[in-house]
Amino acid sequence: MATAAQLVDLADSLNGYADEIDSFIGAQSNPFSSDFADLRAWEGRIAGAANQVAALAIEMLVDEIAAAASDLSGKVAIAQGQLKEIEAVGRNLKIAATILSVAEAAATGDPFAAVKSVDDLACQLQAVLQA
Amino acid sequence: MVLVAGCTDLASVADFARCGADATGASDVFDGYVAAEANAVRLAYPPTDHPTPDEIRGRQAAVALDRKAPALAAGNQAALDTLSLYLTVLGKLASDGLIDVKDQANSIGASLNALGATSAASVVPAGNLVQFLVSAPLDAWRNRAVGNLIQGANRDVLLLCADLSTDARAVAAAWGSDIQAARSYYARIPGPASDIRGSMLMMALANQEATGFAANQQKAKALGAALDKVCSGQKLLYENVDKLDLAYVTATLNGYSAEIQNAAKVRLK
Repeated sequence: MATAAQLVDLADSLNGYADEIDSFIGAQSNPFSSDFADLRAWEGRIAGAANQVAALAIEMLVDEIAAAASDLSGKVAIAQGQLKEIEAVGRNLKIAATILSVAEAAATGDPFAAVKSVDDLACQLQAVLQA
Repeated sequence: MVLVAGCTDLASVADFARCGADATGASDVFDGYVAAEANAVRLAYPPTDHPTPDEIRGRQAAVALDRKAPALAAGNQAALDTLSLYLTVLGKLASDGLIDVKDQANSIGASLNALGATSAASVVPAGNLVQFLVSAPLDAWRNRAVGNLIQGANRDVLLLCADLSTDARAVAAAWGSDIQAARSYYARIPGPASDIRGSMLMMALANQEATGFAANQQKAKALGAALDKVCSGQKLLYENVDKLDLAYVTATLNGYSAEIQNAAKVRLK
């Protein structure tokens, strides 16, 4: 039994034959002559056959592709979970840095710096809650 | 002494994955297959012609394929989207930015210094120490996640790349058939074709259609070529999963990335 790739090669070959007919007619002194009507009809029929062979190749792979895509989807979902966990480390460090900057601002006794640090912390926490 | 955590350089892996995701994402090649099959029905023979029984059967077969095409295209598109998502996630995991905690570490270090939590005579600046303590385990964690994804997904990714590449070439063949069918169709239209001006007009119409079909054919071939390179890159990643920052792996991946980008340029034209 032919493989899908072999069917595609066959479709390409058939298209090549149809193209040869087109080139042959195009090279004649009067390519529009009705003498070539049958050849033109053959060109169309060969193209139609090539299209059907290409479709067979696609149909042949449907089940295999669906199964692999479903399987891969599950594995990607697990990796996405790990990605989120690693991203959370960076976010948590940002929060820790902001908490320490609040403490630092409070220690300096500068009220404006302290307010700004608390505001930054609130923004960080909000971003985490929305993530 | 300066402590700087030496993280694994996965920039080439990230770049390869990003190029692959770009080339496979937002592709209209499989959606276009529906139009290719509709054209096969329309161009089976001119409506004013007297078709042979063979031609009538051929058109009926084309109608049957036209009905199946939307489901086939949707299945392939969904699989291509999954493959693209795999590459996107791999790219994000391999990205340097994911484990870059330098800014946070420096900020924490500066606050600790200001609060007097560290002595001025410390051998290692507090920021560097924090960065070192966090970066090394984070790097190891990230590398394990990248390795697990590459290994776990390998069989499915290779199969999808090969099958979808074959299907992309099949779609290209379908567009190629449309090109030939258009030439045959317009040359057979009776009436105008019996005089030279009418024939020239029909030839111009055939060429106009064929030019559009040829552009779609090129896009489908380009997707197939990009998928072949993603397949080669995946094989390389799998075979070198424990040494992804080797110079040979990096250089080869960079080559694949460039080839994928070139294929994507054709696809996006």
